[in-house]
Amino acid sequence: MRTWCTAAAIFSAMVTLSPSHAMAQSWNFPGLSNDAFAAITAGGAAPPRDLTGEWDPGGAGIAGGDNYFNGRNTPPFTPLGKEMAARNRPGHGPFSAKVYEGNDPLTTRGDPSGFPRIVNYEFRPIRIVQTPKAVLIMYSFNQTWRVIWTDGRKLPEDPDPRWFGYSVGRWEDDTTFVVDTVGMTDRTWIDSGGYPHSDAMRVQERYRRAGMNVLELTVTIDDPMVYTRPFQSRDRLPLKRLPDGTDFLEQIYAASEVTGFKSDVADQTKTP
Amino acid sequence: MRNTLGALVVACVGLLSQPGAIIAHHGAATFDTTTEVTVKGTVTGWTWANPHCILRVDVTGTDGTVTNWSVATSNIADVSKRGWSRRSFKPGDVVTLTIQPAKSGAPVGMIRNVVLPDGTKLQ
Repeated sequence: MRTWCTAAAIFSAMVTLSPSHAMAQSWNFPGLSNDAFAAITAGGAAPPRDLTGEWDPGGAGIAGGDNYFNGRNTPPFTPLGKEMAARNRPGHGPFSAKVYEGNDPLTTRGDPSGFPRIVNYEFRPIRIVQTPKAVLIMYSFNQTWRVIWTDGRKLPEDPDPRWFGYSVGRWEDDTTFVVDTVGMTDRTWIDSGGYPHSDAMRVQERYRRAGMNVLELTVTIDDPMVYTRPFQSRDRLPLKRLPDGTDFLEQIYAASEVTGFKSDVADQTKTP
Repeated sequence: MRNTLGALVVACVGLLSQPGAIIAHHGAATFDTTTEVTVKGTVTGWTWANPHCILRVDVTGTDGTVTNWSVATSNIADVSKRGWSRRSFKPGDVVTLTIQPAKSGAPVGMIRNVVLPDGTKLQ
């Protein structure tokens, strides 16, 4: 009886303190509303060295809008970077093209987001799983995942480029997990604004468990071939904890769907 | 206890379904954002897809000609948060659409809001 009462008290405290925790749907959760996201605070101390669970990057995670591009201190391009950027016709940001001119590999062809775009655009709820050898990040957007090796291996020295690169992670202290990634194909953009990168780019993610319910992500991009200095595409972006067992909406930018929008709507907007 | 929980769930669903602002997605500049047009028509198709869902609607003009419009929303995650679903429309539904039409004059545009046969407004 005492156990039941304690459980009931904890449940009602969760409902009171974190309204969102009562809002989870049993299937196809699309992400927190802005109000529900804002209502979740850091909470008490989290278990050490633990990122496990379901996390929602909220509206800022989706990005694509002026807030994202204006809030980022993007350095000037190198001459090569300028040449690469000139080929891109994005749907968002300062270089936005008309919708029928767009050549965004993700939204007009159905290519994978790749990394780091997966955390810089349409960054939707994720599930993090820790095993003895790796941290797995499972992204609801495009139903994709990354393996971040924590078994002490070194990054490859001359990697064959991949969409999501090669990642190793380490705990800097009990609350901060640092991930280094190399070997990303230059076919992807770093965001929806058509910002390019080379396959020599290195990316560092810092995940800081600010409390039981908040995980902050900082992403630093270092690509001297394309940008004149390193910069942060995410600066302590808060991810809010969702109830254990949250089932995510499947949001896939399938090639047949994105090309269908292009032919049926986007291409029709061209003025004769 | 069960009734209390049920009421809580209903209240929370109500909160979740509050409409948010429409998010302009791709190249909004190519659509005529200075004009909003309201039309009434009959649904011929509803494609639940990314990066935009597409609603197809037959609209009869004053001269009797029927034009099939293809009008888009945001992606499925954004509209799900605002109460839309794969089952929001079925062919034959008569709906009232407020849209931002393309400047090209083609029967395409972005949906601002849509009123369903039962009076529900999705936006």
